Amino acid sequence: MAKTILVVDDTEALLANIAHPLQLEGYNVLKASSAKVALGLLSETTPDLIITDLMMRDMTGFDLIEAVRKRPEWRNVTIVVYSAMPAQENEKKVMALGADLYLKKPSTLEALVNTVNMLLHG
Amino acid sequence: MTMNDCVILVVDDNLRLLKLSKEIFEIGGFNVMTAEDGEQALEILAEHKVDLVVTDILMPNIDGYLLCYKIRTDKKLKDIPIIIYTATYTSASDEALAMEAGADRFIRKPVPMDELISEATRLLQNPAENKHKIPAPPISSELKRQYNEGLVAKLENKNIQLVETKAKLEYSESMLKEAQRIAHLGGWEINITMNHSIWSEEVFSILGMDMTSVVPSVELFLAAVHPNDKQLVTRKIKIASMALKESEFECRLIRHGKEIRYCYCKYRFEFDDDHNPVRAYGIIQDTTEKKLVEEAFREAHERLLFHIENTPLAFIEWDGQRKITAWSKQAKDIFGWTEHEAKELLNGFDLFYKEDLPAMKEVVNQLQTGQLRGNRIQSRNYTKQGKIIWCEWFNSALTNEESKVVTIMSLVQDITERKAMEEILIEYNHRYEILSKATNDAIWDWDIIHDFVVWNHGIETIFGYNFRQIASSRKWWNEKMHPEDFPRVMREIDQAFERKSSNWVSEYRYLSADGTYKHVLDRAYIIYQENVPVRVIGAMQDITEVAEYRQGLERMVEKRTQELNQALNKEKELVEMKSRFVSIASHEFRTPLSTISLASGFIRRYKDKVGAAEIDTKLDDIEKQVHNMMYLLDDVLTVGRTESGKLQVTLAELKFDLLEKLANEAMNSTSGKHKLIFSNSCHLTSMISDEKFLRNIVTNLISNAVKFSPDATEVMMRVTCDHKDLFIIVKDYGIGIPPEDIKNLFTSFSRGSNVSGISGTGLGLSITKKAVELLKGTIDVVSSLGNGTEFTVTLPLNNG
Repeated sequence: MAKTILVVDDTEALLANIAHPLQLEGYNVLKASSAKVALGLLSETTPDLIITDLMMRDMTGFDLIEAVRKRPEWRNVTIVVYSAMPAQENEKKVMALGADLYLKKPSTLEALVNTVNMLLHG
Repeated sequence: MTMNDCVILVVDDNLRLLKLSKEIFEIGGFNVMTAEDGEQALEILAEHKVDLVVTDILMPNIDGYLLCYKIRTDKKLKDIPIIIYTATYTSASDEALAMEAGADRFIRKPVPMDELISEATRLLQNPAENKHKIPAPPISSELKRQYNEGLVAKLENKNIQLVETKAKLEYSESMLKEAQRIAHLGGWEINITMNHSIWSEEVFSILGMDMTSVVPSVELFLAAVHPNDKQLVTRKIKIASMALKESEFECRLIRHGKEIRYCYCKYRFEFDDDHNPVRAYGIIQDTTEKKLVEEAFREAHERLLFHIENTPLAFIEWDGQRKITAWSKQAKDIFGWTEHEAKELLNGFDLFYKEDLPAMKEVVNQLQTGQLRGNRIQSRNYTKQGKIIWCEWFNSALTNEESKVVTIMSLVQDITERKAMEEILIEYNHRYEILSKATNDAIWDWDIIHDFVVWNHGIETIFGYNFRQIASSRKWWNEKMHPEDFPRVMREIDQAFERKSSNWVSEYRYLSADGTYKHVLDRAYIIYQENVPVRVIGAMQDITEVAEYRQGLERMVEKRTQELNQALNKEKELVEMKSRFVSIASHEFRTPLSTISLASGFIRRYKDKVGAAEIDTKLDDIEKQVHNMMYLLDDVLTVGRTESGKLQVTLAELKFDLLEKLANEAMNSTSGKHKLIFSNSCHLTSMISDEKFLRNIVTNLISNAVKFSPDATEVMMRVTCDHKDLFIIVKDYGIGIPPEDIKNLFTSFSRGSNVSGISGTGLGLSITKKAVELLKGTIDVVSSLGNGTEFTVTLPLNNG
């Protein structure tokens, strides 16, 4: 059964370009253009992996991670932070909040796909 | 018959004695008739019945003897009893002669009255005795009588003198008694052979004894002597009784058992022919009053001597010739000369320093001539060692009854130290005057107990108050203090008092006479007595110039500090902004780069799996992101150029519909969610401006309007104009700008506090404002948080 990945990013062009290759890789991909949309989707489906941006209006990636980790049923969901913000300052912070991996933007498609594959199959 | 019926005829040529005899017989109860001689007696006898005749002998014409004879030889009278009563008694033959002449009794004068009366009575009661024979005529006696007449007369005279002498004596005695009483002087005598004492009345009075109830004796006297003097008196009496010499003593007596009296006794002895003492006699005098006066005088004198000896002043007495007659111990202490040396060797003027001598001589002269009664003079004097000392002399002249100056008395005090102190004080005062003038401080001296403040001239020179305007109270002072400083200064003074601090320093403003305030530095010294502040002395220094200069400096420093802080803050903000820009800019670059990277990676990885249409979509994405990055890069470069002033305005005639074109272009580069509502009320066809700046302005305002109103569906742009200006108004219905962020709205890299999650560089409005300014226009903003923002750009139409 195909694994489900929730992608959260408020930059529309980027959201599409993250989601599309993962679909081609055989994953079931859910797209959210904001953290709030993501939480709405989460209430219906529990994904295996969440890929989230950090700097988003209304609710940031940090808030989303915190919200996800609060809920016991989402505790085992793997969270990958995919952000253009400097890793130096933010990696520790998101790890402390419960993220599993920090992937810097920009990255090659291979880096993204390999990371996801490794996390879901490795 | 009773005595009352008897008539006695008294005959005497001495009328005084006649009267006396008459009174005696009247006392005896007889009727008395008198006759001054024998002749007169016979006349009375012829006419009156007489029961008894009492007659003197020696009388003119008919004497006593002849009267007897004539009575005895008269038939009618011959039995009348006769008493010869005479003072002239020469011999026993007188009596015989009287009997012969027919007298019944012969009585010599004087006899006690009772005897005379009883003899008369006896004769009258026994008339039987009186059967008289006729006497022989007294012829033989007549011769004898004449023979003795001279002598008798003489005797008679003598008798009268005796009586008078006795009377005088009695008078003298009474006078003596009175004198003794007045003089408190009593006389006494002791009959040594009989051991019998006689005291005069005054002795009893002195001893306080009742003369009727005591018997005078030496022992009685001793009993009255004061116990402490008893031994002395006993010894005196004993010595007197042995030495038998004239002697005296003084002793105290106790009168009435309590009152002490002083008395003086003096006595001598009387001896018989064999030099045996027979009588001691003397006086006793009450000297209490004298003694008390003496005692008081003695005490006063002793006191005076005590004072002379103990006064710190030297006592010197010197006569008109400058010879010294008295020289007290202190005189020796001051001048070094002993009393002996002073009296023997010194001339009073030797003591005086030569320059001061004329003045002293003048004083002495005036004292001696009575021009001066007393004087006080300061002079320099020599001591025995030749040292010069300063003395103060209090001189006075002592005169005798003729107002002649006897001595000059001087009280002398060594005032060398005082003089030195005075000089030091004068010197200090002088220095203080100079100092207080030199410092130009207002020096004050506050007596707290009496609330009295004394100022020096500084109050006038610094503050302009003349001395008539100054009230010597703390209140006056307090009123001049600046009301803002007053509570603080009062508190500081109270604190200084509480801490028992001896110094107090404060700065405050003080009112001048001209109504301005001077800054003063007041430094004071506090004096305490038993921990209570009693006096404060201080100096107020005018530091107005210093204070103003200092205040100016402080203001300047404050201003510079503020400027520096502003600059620092600006710098800090700039640094923060730049670092924020770097992180934001890198983020803004990374986002499109991510899309480009993923899209290109997608084409490479899935080009065989996907169709051409999908590959085209990815290529569009790549192109779009490349454009975005170019705009971004342009912005950054624009900012860089504006900040370095390299941006040039290139004016050209532009079509007026360019503005709508630019707005649409801007809308196209957005997500496309919003709709532009464009309106133009200006009927121009062209304008003179710079296209790239207009693009900057419109693009930034439109893209911001879209970006910051994510939940809105439209943005509005309105273009209007008047005769000189063009107005471009861009309005959105977005999140608005917090009021506190408005001031930094147009600053590079600054972003609103409510824009987290909305990407941006913080450069757009900075670039917009720069462009507006380059086109000589202005930009204004009105924003309501949560309701939206409206920018109005005003550009001059005539840009030349």
